[in-house]
Amino acid sequence: MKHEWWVGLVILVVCIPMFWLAMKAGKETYAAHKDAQIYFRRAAYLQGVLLSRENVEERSLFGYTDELNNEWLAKFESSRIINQNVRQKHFIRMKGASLITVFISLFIIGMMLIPIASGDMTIGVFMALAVATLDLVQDMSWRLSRIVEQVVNGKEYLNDLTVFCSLSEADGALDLPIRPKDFRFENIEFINVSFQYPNTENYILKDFSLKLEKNRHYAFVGINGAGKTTITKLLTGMYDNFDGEILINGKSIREYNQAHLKGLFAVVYQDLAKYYITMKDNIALGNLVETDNETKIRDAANMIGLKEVIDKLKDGINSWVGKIKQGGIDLSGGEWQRVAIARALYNPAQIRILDEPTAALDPVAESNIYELFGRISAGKSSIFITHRLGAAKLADEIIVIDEGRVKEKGNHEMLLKQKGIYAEMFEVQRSWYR
Amino acid sequence: MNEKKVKRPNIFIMLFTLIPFAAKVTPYIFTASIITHILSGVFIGVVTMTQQRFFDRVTGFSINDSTLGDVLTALLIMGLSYIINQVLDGVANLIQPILIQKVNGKLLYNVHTKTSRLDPIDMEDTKKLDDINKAIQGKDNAVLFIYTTIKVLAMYIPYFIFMGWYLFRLKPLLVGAIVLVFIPIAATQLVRAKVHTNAEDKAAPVRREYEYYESCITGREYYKETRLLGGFQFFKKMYIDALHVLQELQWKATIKSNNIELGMRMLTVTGYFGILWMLFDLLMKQEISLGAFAAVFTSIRTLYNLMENMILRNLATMAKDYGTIQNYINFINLEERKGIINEVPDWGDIELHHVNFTYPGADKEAVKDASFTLKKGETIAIVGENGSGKSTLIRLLTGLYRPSTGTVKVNGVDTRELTNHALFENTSAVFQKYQRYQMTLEDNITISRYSVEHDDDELDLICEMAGTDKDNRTFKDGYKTMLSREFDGVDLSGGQWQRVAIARGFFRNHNFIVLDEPTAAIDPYEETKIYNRFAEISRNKSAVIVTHRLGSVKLADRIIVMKDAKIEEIGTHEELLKKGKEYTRLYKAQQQWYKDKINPC
Repeated sequence: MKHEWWVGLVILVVCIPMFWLAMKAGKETYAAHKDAQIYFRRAAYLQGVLLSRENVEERSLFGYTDELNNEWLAKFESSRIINQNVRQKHFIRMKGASLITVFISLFIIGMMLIPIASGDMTIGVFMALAVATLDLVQDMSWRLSRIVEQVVNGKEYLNDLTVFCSLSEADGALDLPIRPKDFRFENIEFINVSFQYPNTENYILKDFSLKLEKNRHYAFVGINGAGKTTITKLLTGMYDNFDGEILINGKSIREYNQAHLKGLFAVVYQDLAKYYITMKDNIALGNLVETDNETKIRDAANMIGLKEVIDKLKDGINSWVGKIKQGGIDLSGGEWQRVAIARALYNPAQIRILDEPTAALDPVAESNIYELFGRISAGKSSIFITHRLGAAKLADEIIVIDEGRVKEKGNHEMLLKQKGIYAEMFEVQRSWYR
Repeated sequence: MNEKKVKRPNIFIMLFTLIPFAAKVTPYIFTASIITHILSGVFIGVVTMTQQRFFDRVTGFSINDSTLGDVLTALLIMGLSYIINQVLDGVANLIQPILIQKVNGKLLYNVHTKTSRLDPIDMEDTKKLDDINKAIQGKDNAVLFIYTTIKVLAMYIPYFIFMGWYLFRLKPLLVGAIVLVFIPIAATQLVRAKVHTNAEDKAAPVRREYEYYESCITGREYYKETRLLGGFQFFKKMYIDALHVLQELQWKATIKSNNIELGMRMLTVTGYFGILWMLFDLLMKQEISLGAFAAVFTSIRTLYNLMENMILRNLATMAKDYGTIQNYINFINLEERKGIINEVPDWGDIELHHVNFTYPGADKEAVKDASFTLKKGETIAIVGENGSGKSTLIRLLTGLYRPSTGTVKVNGVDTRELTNHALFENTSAVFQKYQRYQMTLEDNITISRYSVEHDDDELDLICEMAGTDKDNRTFKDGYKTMLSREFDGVDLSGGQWQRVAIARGFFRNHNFIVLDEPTAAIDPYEETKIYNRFAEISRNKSAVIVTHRLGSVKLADRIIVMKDAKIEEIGTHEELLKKGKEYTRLYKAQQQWYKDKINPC
């Protein structure tokens, strides 16, 4: 038996290039997978358009399914072909390697005939060794390459995961809002703030300066795209890559932690989130520190005229809204908006921001909200972003924003007298009601 | 739609539906795949035969019964069979994914097409939404089913037949052993399938739920609000709870089927030892040669591996999920919205006659006893409080929904009788929930008329009407600007999106157009302009505007006031103001904010 040590050596020598090949194939597969991913993501998006509930009206009416479906198929095929090409290359290599293994096995078996002839090896040992050597062929072609490929795949994925995990985090982004008892909001000051969204060229705000005082009600007006909504994003700490300075109570906003900023503002967004959870939880989200105060939750709902809506629901305030749970009832756009406002009412934050909150409301509800505006904001500071200028009249101060700057400032009467942008906009709107 | 009894999974129906389907999708690749699989299966057996021959020769050689030349020839033949085996194996495994992915694409393609043919109202039905979800799950498993069936029928079965023949020739008794190994495992799988079908029916709604909660944390439309509210923990808890329920369901089903499997596998192993004993016994009685013993002994391992692969991996995975394939087949066979008339009716009046409409699962009507006629070329405004049924009414008018009772007639033809094509050919709309397509500006507009060619002049004209300016600095590549951050493009503000949606509505050829609160997010400057232009382009068309800006309804010939799902008033602006009822109440509420001196604060 001592003559056969070289068999082990040959096998070892064969293994090394096989390992190397398998590693290389693994890397290539992963890289190709990422290339294919570009098409795949696009295909996935198109698929959403073709299937989602939200799209049903336009999909049915415009009848674009056939065209879009073909576009989808093209993307799907592109991604498939990339993967297939890599697989092909990988197979040719792998099978090439296993053919080499076949030849080497045959050589080893052939050489073992010598000890058989001389009687140094029994037929039993020969067969056992021959079978083991031939098994190598299958092991080399499938098992080894599969295992190594998995390892490489996993490693490449972990690399990407590491990159994702090392993206800078905003401290406290996941925290509950905090509201220190001794903190009283005094004022906010913007000093020459300029801002552009990451990877874009246009300035949304340019040298924007403004001071907001506590317990006053402000209305931000201006045409679409003037930068009104961006201001709320900066205030709530969504972006901090602006130039200039934003001070809250004289202290830079960058020195406040996220949890504190969250506790300071209650925002009703223009593109508000429709949470498909219970009606009660939808409102309770406004104050996650105190989610069980049903009296207060009902008060908030009643204040905004949600009582009738709630009474109509099967399980009242504990009903599921939206189409996720079986039996959940979807609300209309206006009803969702009122839910969002109720959420803000339940929120004990000191500053309330309403971003175009009445867009989807009927005239009576809209009017009610304007009248409520005073009550909603009682003892609070508020910012009302709107292009319904009727509502702007209620504000202590109207800020007209245009091209990223404050263009006019003052109360309704003052601005009408100025005969500037505001006066012109108001005139246009008023003309409808003459 | 009447509930038909849902068909339970039937493996033969699947087989006769899916395999011909795969063959039709790509006939050449399908054939190539089958042939290479059969050859590959047979050659695994051939390897065993050449091995036996080689071992017999070596045994002869050791007792000087055969020459070195004989041995080397046998070695070469064995080597050759190994090489062919490897090549076939490679080719078969290379062709298979092409077939599978092509079939996968086609199956999904069919889901998309099918979805577009369903009645839009189905999308308001949680059960139907579950069906779509389940169909996609089922699609994945249908692909797996085809993959497995080809592997089993074209490769494993030929291999087993070949080996059966080979073993039979050696000793007929050996064939029985294969059957004994096969039977208990096959039985296991039949039991397994039942367990998992039941589990999947329970799991689908929970899966939708937990995916939704995840989107509440990371989804684009939820991200900023959830973050500001500090809602991460709240949704994480809901997410985890739903996930636990799902895992619990899957866990139970898995445990149940694995227990069954464990018992059955013990039997299989017993069978394996039985074969070994048989071989040993036959060798001792010198009924088989030493070479045959070694070759069969080696191949029993392969036989056992392949059998285990086939049944415990391929068939078991399939059995685990094959219940969901029926969901796919059921979905594809769901009742479609059909019509008997495909001819586009001439432009004329749209007539509602005692129309009632109730959403699935709702107990109250969303529209109650609505009767009126939208005359050819007339503009009607629909106003009313939120939730009074305005949007539902326009869905009935456009034919998107068909009335629960009563009739909607387009130029005298019932909308129930018209196909989608006939209904929608000359209708356009700007919906309240308009879409923000993550596509180029051009595609975002032209998608309303995707199948027809267009030129830039036409686009320019429409954009001007809708107040979308392609030269605006936002649209860095003009019409080719991608409107999506996720696909390396730009994002638009709410108002800009709305104008794109209006352009989309205008772009479609129409003689009837619906605007459902089209200007909510648009500033007053633009709003006035859009309404004036709308009045201009719809002068010779039928139009319906749903709006809360009562100032704008003066454009309309008549106004419909909705209240509590009913049509409360119909008339002109002046008539309704004179009546002094619901309309007046709404109008006054809004007007007060635009009178100069009164300040109700």
